[in-house]
Amino acid sequence: MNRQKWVTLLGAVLIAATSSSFAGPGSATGSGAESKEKQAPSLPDYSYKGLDGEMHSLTEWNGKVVLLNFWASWCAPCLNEIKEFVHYQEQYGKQGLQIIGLGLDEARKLKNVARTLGINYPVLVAEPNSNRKLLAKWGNSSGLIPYTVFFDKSGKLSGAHKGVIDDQTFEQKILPLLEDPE
Amino acid sequence: MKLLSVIKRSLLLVTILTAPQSYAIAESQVLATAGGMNVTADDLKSAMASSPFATQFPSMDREDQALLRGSLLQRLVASKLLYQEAKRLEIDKTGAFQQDVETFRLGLLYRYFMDKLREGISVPKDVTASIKQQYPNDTDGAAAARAAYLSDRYRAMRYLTIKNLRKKYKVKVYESRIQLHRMSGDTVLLEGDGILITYKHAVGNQVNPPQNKTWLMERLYKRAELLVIAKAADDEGVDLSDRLNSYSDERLPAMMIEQKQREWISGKDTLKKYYDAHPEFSRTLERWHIGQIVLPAKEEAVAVRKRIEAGESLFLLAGELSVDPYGKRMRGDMGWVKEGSGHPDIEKAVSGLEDNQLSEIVQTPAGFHLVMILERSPSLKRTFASMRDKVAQSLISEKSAEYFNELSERYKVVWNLIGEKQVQTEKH
Repeated sequence: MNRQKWVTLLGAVLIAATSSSFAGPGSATGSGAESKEKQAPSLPDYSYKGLDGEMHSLTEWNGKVVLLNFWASWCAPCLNEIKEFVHYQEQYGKQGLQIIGLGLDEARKLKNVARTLGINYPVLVAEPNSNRKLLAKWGNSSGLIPYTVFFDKSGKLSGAHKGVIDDQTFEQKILPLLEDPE
Repeated sequence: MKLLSVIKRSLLLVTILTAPQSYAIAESQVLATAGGMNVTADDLKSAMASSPFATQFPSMDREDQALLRGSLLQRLVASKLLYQEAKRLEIDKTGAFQQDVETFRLGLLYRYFMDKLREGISVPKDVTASIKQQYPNDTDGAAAARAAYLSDRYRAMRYLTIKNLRKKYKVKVYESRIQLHRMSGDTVLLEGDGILITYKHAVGNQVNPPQNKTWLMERLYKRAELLVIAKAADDEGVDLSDRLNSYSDERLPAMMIEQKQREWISGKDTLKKYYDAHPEFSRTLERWHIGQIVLPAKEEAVAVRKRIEAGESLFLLAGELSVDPYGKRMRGDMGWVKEGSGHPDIEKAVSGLEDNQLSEIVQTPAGFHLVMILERSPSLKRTFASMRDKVAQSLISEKSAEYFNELSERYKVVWNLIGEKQVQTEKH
């Protein structure tokens, strides 16, 4: 996909994230359920079940710089990236960084990975068999993972990244959001 | 099986090594000692990272992770034992080992030099500007163009470097000596300062080298390229001692076990004798489709036997009366079973039966059985030739277990494992 197309797609995600047309098929888990009330500024009101068994809306993390990371237990680059994310969360959590994992896999395997790698941020679980559609909704029609979308502190979609977020990408795209007061 | 029992114990106890607790263990912590050589938590971590299970490991259940780590720990200990045995037998002084190390060393030197050459190549500013102009808004296209430029430059630099090095080391090729069928192994085909390639060197380990001049020239130039570049790197004084030591640490145990395996299967008839002595290799087991009813008392079994002989269905009666829950649910159809896999008394009772002939009453702890074979899948013969590899694997596996026992007696193995009580404490 060329850069222009990609920017257009991101724009579409951004618009969709703040409009009712982005609402999922209505499932309360996985594909997301949007609140009818629009409150700006806010993260999109999508809810997913967490590894803790509770439902979580992204709005729980309003006011934070949020990295929503799509991954799976069978994806080796995802696991390498998670090891770095654990460090980022530890180092920048106090500055308002909130990484959220969105696992596209069996909850049991995701739990094992979270335990083994010592994941120190919330991990949500996508509804089984909805991965492709879910990724497409979040602007990733190719379905490749790892994939990360990031929001600034006002809840505005700031960008997305296909593949592993390396140090350079983190410094260029995420750190400025943490420095930005709003 | 002293070692095996210790290993089994270790598998239970290394539960503590499963993540995330593993990250709390100091990497230098000694998990086992074999004849004075330590296996540390760091060794285990490295072995895991380079194992085929590296990706699956994080998503495994805690117990499976513990088993895998235990199994890897066992392999690391075995490797230390083999290393010490190889040193005792002076395998490190053999020509084969030294040739292996030299081949590895040359490879390292070559890679070092070429990596340095590649790193020294960059895309000049004007080329970068031209690429940007050519691929506006197309990062993938620009990246591909940069890669193509770097690749072309590397090829050119490599050619020039080899040419210069050949000159520097005064390399001479004796093409006129390349006369097939007239050369001996020691015929010198190429030489220079500190470089010598004979026919034997050029051919390498090729058992039946093609009698073809073009092929030989290619081999000669490839070898010459390796040697001149390795020499250039060597002249720079590159320190490879750590990597060569690591290579020896890995290669010696491998050569030791390869030598033992050759010994174990060296005899002319060793494998055939093993095949003959183990009938499971020479034929598949017969499989039986079994019908069964199990009754709680002998009197009931006698009565049911009479009813079946009088024409009632074993299956209808099993669905109604069998005290075996599975058998009752399946109405007496127990599916296919392999000979040798059932209760010995039942096996004995059915062994002489015709198909659909009802057995005598057989008593087991489960009750009083009436059994019949509904149909059978006969055993098939398997020839020695078709089973040769499996026979060899089985023999090697058996001999290896004995050998590791012997080695663990010679070089004392100490497991520095954490007690079960502590495991429980750590778990909670």
